[in-house]
Amino acid sequence: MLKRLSCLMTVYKGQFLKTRIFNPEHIYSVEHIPFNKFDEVVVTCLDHQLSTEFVEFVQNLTAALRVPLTVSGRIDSKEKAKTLFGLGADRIILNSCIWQHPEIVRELSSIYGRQAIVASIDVVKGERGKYSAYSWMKKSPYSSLLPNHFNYIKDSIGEVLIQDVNRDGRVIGYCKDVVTAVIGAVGDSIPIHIGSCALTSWGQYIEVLSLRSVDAVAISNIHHMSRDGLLALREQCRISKINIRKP
Amino acid sequence: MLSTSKVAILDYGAGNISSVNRFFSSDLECNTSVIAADSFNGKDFEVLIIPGVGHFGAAAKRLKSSEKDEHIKEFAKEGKLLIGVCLGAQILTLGSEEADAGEKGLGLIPMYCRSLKKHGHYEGKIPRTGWATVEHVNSASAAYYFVHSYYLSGSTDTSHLLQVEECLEDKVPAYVSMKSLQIHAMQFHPEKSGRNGFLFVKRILENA
Repeated sequence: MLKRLSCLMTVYKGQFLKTRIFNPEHIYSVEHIPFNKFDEVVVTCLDHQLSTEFVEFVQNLTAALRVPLTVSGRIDSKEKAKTLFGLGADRIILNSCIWQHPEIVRELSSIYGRQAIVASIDVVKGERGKYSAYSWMKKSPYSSLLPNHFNYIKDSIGEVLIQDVNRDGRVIGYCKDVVTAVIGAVGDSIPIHIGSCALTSWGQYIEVLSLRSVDAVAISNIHHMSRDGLLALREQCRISKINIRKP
Repeated sequence: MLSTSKVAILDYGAGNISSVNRFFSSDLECNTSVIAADSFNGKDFEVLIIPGVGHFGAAAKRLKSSEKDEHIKEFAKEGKLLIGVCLGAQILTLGSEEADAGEKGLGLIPMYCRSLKKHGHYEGKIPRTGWATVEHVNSASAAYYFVHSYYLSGSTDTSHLLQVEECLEDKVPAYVSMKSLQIHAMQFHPEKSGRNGFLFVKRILENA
């Protein structure tokens, strides 16, 4: 398969935002983003509930989108998943659900197929330098990167999205150890998607895309989302012999 | 033909309807109707689209329970245009290893769906997710979006019945068409494949 370059947007109350450590900072417009030139669009939702504003944002997006859409939305039930798929999402992102409701993960997979289920692992570095997933519900780290029941849900997951909580929006460069820690825990049988991990240069994108285990990399920096930025990144991939599509 | 043709998009509870409907109605300017499987009547339409994502067994069971599977077969055998997309393409075959309760497909395409784990060339991850280049017989190669864990597999020599186009990188079948009937099975999602998907389906509709 060709490696994917996705566009990752964080949305709060129906608005596309720059975030820092996943806290809202600035509002951005989306008009300049050439969505259909990306290989996929990923929308993560910061709302505590699936809001009307978020639903409208996704509806507006899907109307113009001709590439796959992956969406989060605090999904912890079949009903919420159905709502997002009904809006045109091709895949949904589960976060707390993979920790709290493994049976729902399996049920959603049995309905929509495992390819429609993306597990987000939001990584933080603990006091002793140990990487753990972060619980947005409890506002504290879990004790590990993956839940103890991960093998129970592993075959229900179609992709793992890695997000580096500490580095989100800080433009300080990505941390390879975070990526390799998650890949090491997950194994190399499930597709890996690098989410918001503070990639700052084309060189870092190329480095991550060169990892055999990595299947997709998200562009989450607004300055890289322009048509020219995407073209420049694709050219860097071509020079570095990374197989990507030519839209 | 296209703008005046009546196109049915079959809703049998296997998702993805809104994107597929938008693709055919807005992009390809077809006269579409989303039809619940149990309401399908082939006489009212010239084109039938069977979309779908999810589990083969569950989808086949729902289609069977609609009691319209025979209508779909008749529709295709009358020479009308039938397009299956992703799981909708797999449903057109004899069956799938994914159907743990033994649910069968429509049997319109003499192929069987097997796990990608058993594919001779594919060594990648499962589900097979992302873009891959398809080697077309009558046009230039182009990349499309795939997301699947099972593939369309020919069990016997069916080359006199079928035309099969594979992906360049891993030889996974991407598109199957029947030579004698207007049945087209796409493992990829044309509605998610940007301009390439649009051009591919447009060609099929124009040649119908």
